[in-house]
Amino acid sequence: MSLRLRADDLEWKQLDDEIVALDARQARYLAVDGAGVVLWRALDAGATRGQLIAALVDRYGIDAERAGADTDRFLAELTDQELLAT
Amino acid sequence: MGRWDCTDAMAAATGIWNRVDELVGRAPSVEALRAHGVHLLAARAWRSKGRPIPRTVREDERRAAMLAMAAPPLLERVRAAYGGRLALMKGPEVAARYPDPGVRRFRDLDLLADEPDAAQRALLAAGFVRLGSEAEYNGLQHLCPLAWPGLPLIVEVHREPNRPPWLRAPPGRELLNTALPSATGVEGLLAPAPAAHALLLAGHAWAHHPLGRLIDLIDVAATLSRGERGERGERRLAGELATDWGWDGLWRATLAVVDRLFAGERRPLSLTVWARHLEPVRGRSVLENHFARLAAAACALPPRSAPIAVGATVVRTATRRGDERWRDKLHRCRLAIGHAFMDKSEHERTLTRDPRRS
Repeated sequence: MSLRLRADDLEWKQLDDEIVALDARQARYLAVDGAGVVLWRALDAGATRGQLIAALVDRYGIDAERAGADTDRFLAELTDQELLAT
Repeated sequence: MGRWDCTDAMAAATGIWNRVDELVGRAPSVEALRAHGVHLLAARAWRSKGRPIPRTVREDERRAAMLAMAAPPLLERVRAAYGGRLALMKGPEVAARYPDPGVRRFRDLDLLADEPDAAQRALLAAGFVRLGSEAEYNGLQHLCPLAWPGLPLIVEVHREPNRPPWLRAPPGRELLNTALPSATGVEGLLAPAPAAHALLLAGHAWAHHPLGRLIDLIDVAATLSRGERGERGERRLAGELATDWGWDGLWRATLAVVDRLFAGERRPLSLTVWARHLEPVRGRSVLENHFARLAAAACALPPRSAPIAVGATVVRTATRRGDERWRDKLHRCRLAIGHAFMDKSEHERTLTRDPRRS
């Protein structure tokens, strides 16, 4: 299943190695850095869980198990904050 | 739009940005860049050359990005709340003319409305909140500023565009009749046509800092260069509008400086007399700032009406602000005289640290 960032009321911009985003629905700003930037950009284009894990493995040279755990934690955070398209 | 117009506009725009990079490279300090509103443009140039960006400038970039991000959702809410005609002036509308809109910082959204009171009521009913009381804004160009809870940008519904007090207001109805879809892409939102917008930007700049900041002149040049008539066509139209509005002097003086700064034309008198800080991109001194207020009216008005405007400016300078006490006013005057050759931004920092003003 392809996962994607919500399109409505979500504005973001990459500044150097950080992404700053505004969730206008909740009037709340958030910042993402490190591996979160890789995942955020992939989710903006739309990606499966497997593709997200592969992106982290490719970028950081970590093993798939650790990348899977990081991806799941990030996706859970985004889901909690209702930032993923349903 | 013809092929020639498009090429003309692109060439003009490229020329401006090359010159802007040259100008910001002259600034003696980050503070000077900040005083001219161009420190984010400088950061863009430094980044492209692999130069380090000072921490304070990176923080400003972050703040500017956060403010800019709030514009589209706020404008969508404004548009949804009020069905009448609304034209976005300055701010994100001008930023869209920059090669990277993120380098043109703004803090508010200025909207010219066909029915300002009705627009204000509609926004309040939709959930916007007042930042102050309406009574404070009676007779001013805009109504009480509004905000959406949690979002940092301010919305100002204008009765008329801002301008120096000695010029008459431009015709708001005509501005709306000739307005075009906004460059922000918000559906149904308008913006003044480029020639009119360039003139409004110049008028707004003269109301606050006549020929004071490089960013205001870049705004004018960028807006003229991107019109669908090509730069020459937009200039011609802006000249005609300036005559209709009685803004000829202001417009001629602004264009002469724009042409010198961004096209290397002959140096106008203003740049050697009362706007000498512009070419070296340094801060304006306190003395230069006071002189500029007088010179602006003298330079922009016909000889018959200039003395009255200059006199009114002298009176405004010599009188107290609001409920300021005379002893505080005199203290402020003494400080200004003592700081006559100090950079104005440094003088203002001194004033904010002054215990008498806290």
